[in-house]
Amino acid sequence: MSAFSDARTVPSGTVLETDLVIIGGGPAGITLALSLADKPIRVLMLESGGTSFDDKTQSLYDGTQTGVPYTPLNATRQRYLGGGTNHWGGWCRPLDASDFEQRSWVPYSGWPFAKAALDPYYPRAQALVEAGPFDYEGKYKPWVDKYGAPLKLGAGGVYNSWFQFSKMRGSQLPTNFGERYAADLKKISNLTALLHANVTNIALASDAKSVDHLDVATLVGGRFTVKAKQVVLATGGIENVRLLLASNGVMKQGIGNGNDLVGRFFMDNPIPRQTAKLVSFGGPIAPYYPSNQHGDGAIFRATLAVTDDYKRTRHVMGSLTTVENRVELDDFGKAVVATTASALGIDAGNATAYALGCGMELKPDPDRRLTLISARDALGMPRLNLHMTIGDEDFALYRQTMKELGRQLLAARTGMIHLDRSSRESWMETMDWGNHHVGTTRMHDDPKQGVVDANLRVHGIGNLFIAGSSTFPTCGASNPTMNLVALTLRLADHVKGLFP
Amino acid sequence: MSESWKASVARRPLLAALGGLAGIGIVGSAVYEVSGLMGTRAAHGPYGDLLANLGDMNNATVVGKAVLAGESSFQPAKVAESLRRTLRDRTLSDVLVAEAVQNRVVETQGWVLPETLTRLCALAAAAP
Repeated sequence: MSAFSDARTVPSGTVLETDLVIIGGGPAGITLALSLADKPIRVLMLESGGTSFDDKTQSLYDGTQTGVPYTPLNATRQRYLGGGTNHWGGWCRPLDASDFEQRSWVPYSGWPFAKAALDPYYPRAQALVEAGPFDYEGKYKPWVDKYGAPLKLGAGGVYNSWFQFSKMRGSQLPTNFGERYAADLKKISNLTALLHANVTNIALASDAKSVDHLDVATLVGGRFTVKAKQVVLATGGIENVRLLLASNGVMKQGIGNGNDLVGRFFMDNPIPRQTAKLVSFGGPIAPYYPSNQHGDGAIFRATLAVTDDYKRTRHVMGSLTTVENRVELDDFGKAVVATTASALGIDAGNATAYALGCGMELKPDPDRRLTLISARDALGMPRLNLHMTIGDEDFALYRQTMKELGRQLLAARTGMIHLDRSSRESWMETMDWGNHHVGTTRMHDDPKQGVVDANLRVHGIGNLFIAGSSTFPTCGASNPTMNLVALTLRLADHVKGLFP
Repeated sequence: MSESWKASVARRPLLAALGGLAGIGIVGSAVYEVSGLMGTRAAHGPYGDLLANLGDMNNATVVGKAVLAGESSFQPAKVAESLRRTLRDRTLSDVLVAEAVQNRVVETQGWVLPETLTRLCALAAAAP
């Protein structure tokens, strides 16, 4: 076969054999394929879609939902080469060190390794997402020199940090892995990419200790088999669950689900809008707060992040607050600002107010979960229901962080904060979601607490690995794409070791 | 924010300076007309010494009414006595910054404010 082939041309009944099969051609699958390019490993990548959007393929994602409103399951994902990078926003930022820690106030928290284990992979991940120089803590002085100093804050739990962005080309979306790396994938002599290939079953050996083969189907009726020494499941935080649960021929509860964990702990980053108003006494703040700026090969934007120390001592969750747009204060707000600035001895003649938004970290919740339902898709696979939750405590903890920011602005005499939302109903009014699918095949050394181990191998299954953010035990507030790419690079190193 | 509000705030230092000349009736009258906000009531009241720390009495009163709406047993005389002790050796600005540093902040209709500022504003609203 050539590097990119069409599974619809594979005769039914064919058995394809390879060293490693990657199920899914999204950012994780493509990263893994690229990382194995220089190794004498025969790799087969199976992608359900083609190279562009297709309604029939996308409808395989249809599902149902209960609980709080969430993006429809067929809209929160993109089922063709490139996966989630076909519609991502390009926001990049590494997870914080505390995100990896077992936090006493966060049930089910704790990765099986520290951030230091991922640090060596971030520069390469940054390069793959094309986000420019790796400088998330503002050491990149030219930005500040060019656009002005960050907002001055008193000492405390909130600090100025940075997002960097996957590059945009003109009006094009950020780096789309399918489009961007298609040519590179085609150059890999040991890689075959099969498009329009839907894995419908992961068939275990009778002892349930290894994958025997994969059943693959196409939407034009083809059915064939793939046998591989190693299998990596990389279809995203929702579809990974469907395939594991539906592959119940040997393990009746689904693969990796002996402890009823697969599909539980679904997480996303809530993105409530207009959470608060920030008033800058001194006038407009640096332009890298309310909008992306370009400089020295990077696209960047400031964010107000929570220090690891504040998380540890005040038991809040992670959050990344962004400055959105200028707003007008009501008469009471104007009176408050005038009175406060005057009392602080500040001239607030140019005071400027902004609406704030944020990306929050949810507490893991085992009841926020994906389950199979009786409805089936065009290939006969059961569909999913997502039960979505968000706790009052999630809002309350973020509100506490915003109050801390207000305190720090007053301490620095640079501004103040109005907390816009105080009831669940109010928070939900402007709720948006990051469409970041995290946690459903969580990583833990203990099989009773995790689906995969620290090397992303499914507990109890010798040759099945899972790549992607579904393995994150907690989600942090940072956007997952660059982080899952870094984790996949780490997996690639492990996989290389399996083929001496 | 509206340009008129910015202009109002920008004039505050000038108004405050003029407010110090409140004994000169003609000047005080002119300021009241210009700003539409500045009153002389508090400066002459029983807590005038404290309320002089606030730049614009009408704004402070608006804030203070909101504070009082959440207070069930506000006792002006006791609060004034406490505020006089607090402000005896320090400027209001220094007190407010210190309170922010010490996390002595409260919410008033969603605004995060230093404790002493809310008490001063409440006093302005409660003053006869």
